[in-house]
Amino acid sequence: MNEKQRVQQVLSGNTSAFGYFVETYQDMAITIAYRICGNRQDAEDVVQESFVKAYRNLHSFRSESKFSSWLYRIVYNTAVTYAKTKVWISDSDVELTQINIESSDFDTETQILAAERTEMVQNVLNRIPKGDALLLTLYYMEDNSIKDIAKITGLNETNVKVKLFRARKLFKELLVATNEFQYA
Amino acid sequence: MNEKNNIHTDDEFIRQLMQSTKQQAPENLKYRIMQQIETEKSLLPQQTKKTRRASELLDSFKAIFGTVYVLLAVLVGVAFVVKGKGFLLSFEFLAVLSLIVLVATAFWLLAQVDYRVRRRQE
Repeated sequence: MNEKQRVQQVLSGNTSAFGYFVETYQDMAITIAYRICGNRQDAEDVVQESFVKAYRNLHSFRSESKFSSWLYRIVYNTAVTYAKTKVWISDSDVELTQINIESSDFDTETQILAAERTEMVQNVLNRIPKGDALLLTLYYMEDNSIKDIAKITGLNETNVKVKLFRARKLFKELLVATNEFQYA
Repeated sequence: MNEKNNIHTDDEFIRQLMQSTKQQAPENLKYRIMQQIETEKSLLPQQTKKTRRASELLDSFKAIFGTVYVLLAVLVGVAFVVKGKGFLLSFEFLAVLSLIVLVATAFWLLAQVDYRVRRRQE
């Protein structure tokens, strides 16, 4: 059964069929919300609210687009409203952030182990601007296209490309800046 | 060519790193979401019924009085053509119009009573 059929099932009154969408997309939804809110509790609340909103507005879902993009757009909007935060910051702000991060102190003695690597990547993502972390998450974690990311974030495609390029560069620089991380 | 390969390797490497940072939803999140949806759904039919009742009342009102006023307009038109302007203001003609409106009102009231009785039985 494909997603369109499942959507039809939910619309015809089978509420439990919506469980499939929750099960499938909850991890990615919570990752997106976490990137914007910055803490787990808020991210969970945002995801719960987003899924309920998605259920209420399922009739407005146009099946020509991907369900995931439609849902992530709701998660993005809900998280931005919930966190009352500025996701996209200007270039000058990015430079300031970058300087602060580069001078931040990473533990150079630590061995490169998988768990530590994850922690460090998470750390880097927490330190870069929220919008950049979000773009990297959407692009690399689920292979969303530039077009889909534009739909989710409400930015235009050119803007997404530029910001993604900048985010990738910043991310790489921060990883390289940590002495114990042997990048590539 | 070399640069392209590097970009590809970089992308693959970042992808691997990013995959490791995916957040896991807690066990009970799905339950919480489905619970909220079920609760909202159970509250929804009452709202729908209320809306439907209001719209049914309005529909019957429009249907009955719409027909009556069309009928009155036709009567006035015919009376004007056949008997002239003076007849329109005569007691007999006004009495006929009032009677028609009264009958229609009584009919509408009966329809409402009937509707309410049926609803109560349901």
